[in-house]
Amino acid sequence: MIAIWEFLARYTQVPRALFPSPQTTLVAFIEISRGDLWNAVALSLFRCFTGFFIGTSLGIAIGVTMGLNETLYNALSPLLNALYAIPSVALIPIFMVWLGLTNSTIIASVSLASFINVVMVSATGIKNVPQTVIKTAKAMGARGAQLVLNIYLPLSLSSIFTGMKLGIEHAWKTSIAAEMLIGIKGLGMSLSEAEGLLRVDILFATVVLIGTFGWFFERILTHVEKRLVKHVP
Amino acid sequence: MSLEVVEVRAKYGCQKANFIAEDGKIFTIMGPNGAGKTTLLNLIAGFIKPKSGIIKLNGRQIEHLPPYKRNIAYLPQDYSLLPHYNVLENLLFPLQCRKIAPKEQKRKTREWIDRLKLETLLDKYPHELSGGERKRVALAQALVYDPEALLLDEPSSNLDLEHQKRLRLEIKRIKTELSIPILYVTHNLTEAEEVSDTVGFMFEGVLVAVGSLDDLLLNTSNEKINAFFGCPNTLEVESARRHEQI
Repeated sequence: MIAIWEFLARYTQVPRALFPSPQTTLVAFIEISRGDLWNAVALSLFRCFTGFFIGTSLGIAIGVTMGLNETLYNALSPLLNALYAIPSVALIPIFMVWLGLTNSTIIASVSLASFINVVMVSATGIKNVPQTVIKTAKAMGARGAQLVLNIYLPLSLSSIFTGMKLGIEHAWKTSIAAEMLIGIKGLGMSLSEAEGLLRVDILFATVVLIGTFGWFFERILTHVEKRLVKHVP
Repeated sequence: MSLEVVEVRAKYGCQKANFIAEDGKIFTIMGPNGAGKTTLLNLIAGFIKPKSGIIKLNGRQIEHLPPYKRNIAYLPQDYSLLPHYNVLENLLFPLQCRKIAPKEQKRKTREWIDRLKLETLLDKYPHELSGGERKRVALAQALVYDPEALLLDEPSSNLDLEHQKRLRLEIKRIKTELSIPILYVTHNLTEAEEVSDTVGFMFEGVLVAVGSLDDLLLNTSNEKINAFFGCPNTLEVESARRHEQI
């Protein structure tokens, strides 16, 4: 991938200032990392994780309840599916009006983005637990909380993790987008500043860093999923 | 002490069933597909509420109780071990659900591990077991909490002949050792011959006949039973003289 990038940067007619090579991008990265980059990273990560934690907790709790309760599922799924179809960035201006140009706006937007991705997948995961297993567990005496904690949750864990992976991806994107829109310090604002200075090398370096973090989050969740989900052959 | 079913009727499937399954005996239920055999087991296990009728287990009326209060072990045809637990955890699960003391859990589990020779399988997950091993673990899991009755819905389906034979031997051994009523649903005449003490024949939701297998095969005039076993209740005759009217 880096070789293709290097090739394109070197042998195409696009000016270096508009399409920097990997080497130039690395130099730009070293330049910004000596400045305020890590502070911006910390702020973006804080907003992303706080929002993700709130949204995912609510998403799993409501999703599991919906999966267990057919009436609630039928009542809420049209609304949630409609929300799912709206790009999470489109909801940021609403939070801006309600909460102002603050951290709370970003955290609320990130929470909603995570929630929407986790809730329906969790509900579907619970609904897909095989009836034969439920019947077996009931015949053996499981009921109520025992059934939810020992059967439903472990067997829908794989789906819940799929929702969480989508959730963290959207949380990260929304966090960056909200910082750009609101103009609060963070990686999103770093992008806006670099754009203002026409520093495409810094834009590239920041984008690569954002992508690397996104990839890293997904890897962590996949690793935890493999440790926890034991029944997949 | 026994399992008694009196005039039990479900909304769908089972329209009328009357029988007594005695302790230490296997009561086999036979009948064509859709006859209501599985529905009858579901009614007894508590997964379907009866529309009317009485189910008594050891003198205790149970038809109004939820499954976990009936103390009946049920192995449905599509029985599934808990896929996220290994064999040992699968055996412990029903005991944990019933909040049995850890020391007792250990003792009971050990008893069934030894009885059904599961020692080498304890760390394995269900997807790592063969069909025969899965059935043995399922049987141990169903019996580990000392149920008062055992319901088996086509237990030897999906097993090869050797494993079918082994499973039947295990079930017969369990019958003698535990002395609880066992209800055994099967289509297979050989299987029924081997395990049954009493046979009930179901047709269109009604338990139409109860008796020994020989009674059902030889002495019945019930056309439905004869048709099921492939022996129509007619004799071929030939007139002694041509054109003679019989």
